[in-house]
Amino acid sequence: MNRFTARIGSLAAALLVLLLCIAPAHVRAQSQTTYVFDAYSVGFADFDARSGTRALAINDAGLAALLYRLHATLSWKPGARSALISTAQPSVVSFTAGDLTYNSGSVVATARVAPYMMGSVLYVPLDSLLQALYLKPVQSGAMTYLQPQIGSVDVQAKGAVTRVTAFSSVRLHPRLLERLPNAMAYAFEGVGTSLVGSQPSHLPGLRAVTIVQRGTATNPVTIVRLELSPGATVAVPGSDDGRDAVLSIASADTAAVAAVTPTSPSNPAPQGASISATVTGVNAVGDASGYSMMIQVTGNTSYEWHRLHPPDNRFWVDIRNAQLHMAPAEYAGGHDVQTIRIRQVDPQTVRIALSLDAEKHIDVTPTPQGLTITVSTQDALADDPHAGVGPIGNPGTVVAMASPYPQVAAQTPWKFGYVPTNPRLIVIDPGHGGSDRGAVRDGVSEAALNLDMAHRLRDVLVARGWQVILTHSTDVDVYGPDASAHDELQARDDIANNAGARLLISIHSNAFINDGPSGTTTYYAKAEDLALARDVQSELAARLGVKNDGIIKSHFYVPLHAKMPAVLVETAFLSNPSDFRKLRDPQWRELVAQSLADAIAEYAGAPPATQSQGDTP
Amino acid sequence: MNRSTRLIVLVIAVIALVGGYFLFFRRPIVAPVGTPLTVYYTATDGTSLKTWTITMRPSAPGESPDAHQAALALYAAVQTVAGPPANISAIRFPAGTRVLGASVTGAMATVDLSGDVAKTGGGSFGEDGEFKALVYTMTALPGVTAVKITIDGKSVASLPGGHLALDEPLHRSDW
Repeated sequence: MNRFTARIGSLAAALLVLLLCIAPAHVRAQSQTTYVFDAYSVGFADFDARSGTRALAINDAGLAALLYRLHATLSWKPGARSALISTAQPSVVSFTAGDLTYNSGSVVATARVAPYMMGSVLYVPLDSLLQALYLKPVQSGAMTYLQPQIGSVDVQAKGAVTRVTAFSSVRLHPRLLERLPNAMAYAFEGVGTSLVGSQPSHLPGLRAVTIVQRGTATNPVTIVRLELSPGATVAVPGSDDGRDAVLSIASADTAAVAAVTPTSPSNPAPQGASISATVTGVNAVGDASGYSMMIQVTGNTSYEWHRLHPPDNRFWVDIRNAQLHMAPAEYAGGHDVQTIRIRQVDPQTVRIALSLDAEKHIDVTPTPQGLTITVSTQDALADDPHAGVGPIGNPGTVVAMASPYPQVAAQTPWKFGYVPTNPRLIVIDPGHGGSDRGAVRDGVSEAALNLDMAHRLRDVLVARGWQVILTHSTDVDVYGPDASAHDELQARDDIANNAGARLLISIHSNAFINDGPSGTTTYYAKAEDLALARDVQSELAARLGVKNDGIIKSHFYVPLHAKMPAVLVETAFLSNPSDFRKLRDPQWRELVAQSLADAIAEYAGAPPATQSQGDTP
Repeated sequence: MNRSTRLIVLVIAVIALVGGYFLFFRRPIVAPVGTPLTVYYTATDGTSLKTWTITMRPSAPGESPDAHQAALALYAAVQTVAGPPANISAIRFPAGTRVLGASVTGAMATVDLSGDVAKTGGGSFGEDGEFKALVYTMTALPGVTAVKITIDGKSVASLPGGHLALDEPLHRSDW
C-alpha cells in the first residue's frame, strides 16, 4: 500500500466514523411506547428520534386513537408539510415542517425541534404536540399517564360581571370546595395544571385568583380559589361549550342594581349607557352621478366611518350613542353598491355597512336630517381618506317613515325580464316533506308544519281568485324518496318554472342547535326577489308577534333556480320555546297564511280577472 | 502513512464531525413573520360577520407556490370550521365537521368538507351563517374570489335536507 492509498483509506475511515456518529439519530425507533389516557391504553408506534427529542408520525395509529378520545380532528394528507388539528375547544393546532414555531389557538409557541418530513410523512415533536393538546405525561410506577391539563385560565370583565374561564382538553366539572364570606374555592377533579400561582385582579368583584394542584398522577385535582370583593357573589359554575368552565362573579354594586332594576331582554342597553340619538330610516337613491343614502337621525351624536383597502371594498359608518328605530335590514343596493346592511351592532352603536363592487369615491356629509353617504361612480382617488369622524346635530326633528324598510327610489329600476305565462298562478312550496322531515322537536316535524301552512295559504289564495299549485299537497318527497338534494330541490323549481307561475313562495320553519335565535325571516336570492321579500317580511313582522329578523340575501337553491320572483320564508324557530308554542298553534299558522296572502296582494295586486276562478291540483 | 498524515486525517475527521453536528442540530431556523389573514364567523343574529386574525406561515423551504397556497387554503378553512373560541357566541359548523381538503386553482378555492356538515338541525339559520363565514374567509386569501364546496369529495347541489345551492362556486356577492 503506497502513501496515497493509505491517505484515501484514512479519509474513508473518517467519513465512516462521521456517518456512524450521525446515523443513529436518524434511525426510526419502531418500539411502541404506551401511555394511559382516560383509562385507555394509547400506543404510539411510529417514533423518530432526533437530538434527544422524540417526534411522532402525524399519521400514527395511536395518535389517531388519542385524537378520537379528545374529540379532535386531524387535517393532513401524505406529502403535506403542514398538519392542522381542530380540538374540541375549539381551537386549531398547527405544525409545519421546518418551522420551530407552532400555533395552538391564539398562542404561538416554540418547539425544541422543528417538525420535519421523512419521506411523505410529517413528524411532530411529541412534547410540543401533547402540550398543544393540553396533555402532560406523568410517570407513576411503570406507567406513564397522559394527564389532562387546565391549559389556560382567562379572566375577563363583561360589563359589571367578571368571568373566570378555565379551558382544558376534557370536560371540566368544577365542584364547590370552600365558601367563605370573601372567597370561594372550586375543585377541578381529574385535571392537573402547570398554571400554579396567584394573580391579583382589579376587575369587578374579584381581588385575586389562586391556582394550586393536588392529588396524584392518576387522580389530579386543580383547585381554583377566588378572592372576592366585599358583597360580591359567584354564580353556579357554567360552561360555554361543555369543555370549558365559567365562574361568573357579580360585584356588590351589580347585585344591588339587579335587585331594584330588573333588566329587559328587549332593551340590551347596559347600565350607564347614554343614548342620545335614534336612527329612524334610510332612503336610497341611485342616479347617473352615483348612489346616495340618506340616513335619518334624530338627536345629537357623532359618527365615525371606515373603509377597507382593495380588494376588500367594504365601507361602514357607525353612529354613536344611537339606537335603531327601524327593522334591521340587509338588501341589494344599486350601481356599484352590492349590499347594504343596517344593524344595531352593540347597545350604543348603529352601523350602516356597504359592500362595493370596486373602490369608489365616497362622501360622508352631515345634514339637518342626519347623514348622507354618496358613492360616486368615479373611482377613489389615491389620497382619498380611509376613515373620518364628525358630529350629527339635529335635535327634535322626527322623520316619518311610511315603511319600516329602506326605500329604493324609482330611479333604480329592476332589470327583470321574466314574463309569466300564467300570471294567475302562484306556486307554494312546503319545505321538506316525505323522507326529509326538516327540523324536528318533540315529535313535531318541520315538514308537517310547513305543509299545514301551505294548505292554509292555498285556501286563502284560491278564495281570492288565484290559481295555486303546491309542489306537494301531501307529505311526500317531490322527486322521490331519498332522492339527491339536486333532484329534490330542482323538482320544486321545475314545477314553478314549467307552469310559468307569477311567483313562488317556499314555506319553512327555522331551527338552530340552541334555543337562542328566534323570529321570522324572509330569504331571497336574486335581485328580482327583493320587492316580494320586502312585502312578505313586512306583513309577517307586523302581524305574527315574533321577532323581526328582517330580509336576508342568501344563495338558497329554490329561490335561486326559480325563474320568477321567489322567496323562502322561515316563519319561526322550532328550537325556540316561545316560537315553538306559536308554530304549534293552528290559529297562528292561519295568521301566517293570511299574512302571506296579504303580502302577495301587496306585491302582485289582485289576480287577473280575465280567466275563470282557479283551483288547486 | 506517517504520523503527520494521520494527524491531518484525524483533524479533518474531527472538523467533519463538529461541522456535521452543527449543520444538523444547531442550524438556526429563522421563522419569518407570516401573512395576517382575516377569519370570519357569523354572529348569532344570523347576518353580522365578525372576524379574528391569524398569521399564515411563510413559505417553507422547498415548498412550491402552489403547495404553499394550498396549505394556506387548508389553514384558513380549518380555522373557519373550528370557529372562534368557545366563549364567543357564534354560528358554528356542526360538531364533527372536518375539512378533508382545500386547494386553490386560479381564483377559485375548493373546500372539501366531511358529511358531518349536514347535521345542521334542519334550519336555514345555521346553514346560511356557516357557509357565509367560510366563503368570506376563503375569499380573503390573495387572489381568491370564488369558493367551490364539495362534500366527502363529491360535488353536490345542496346538503341533504339543506337549503343552500352548492352546485356552483359561491361568492361574497351571494350574501
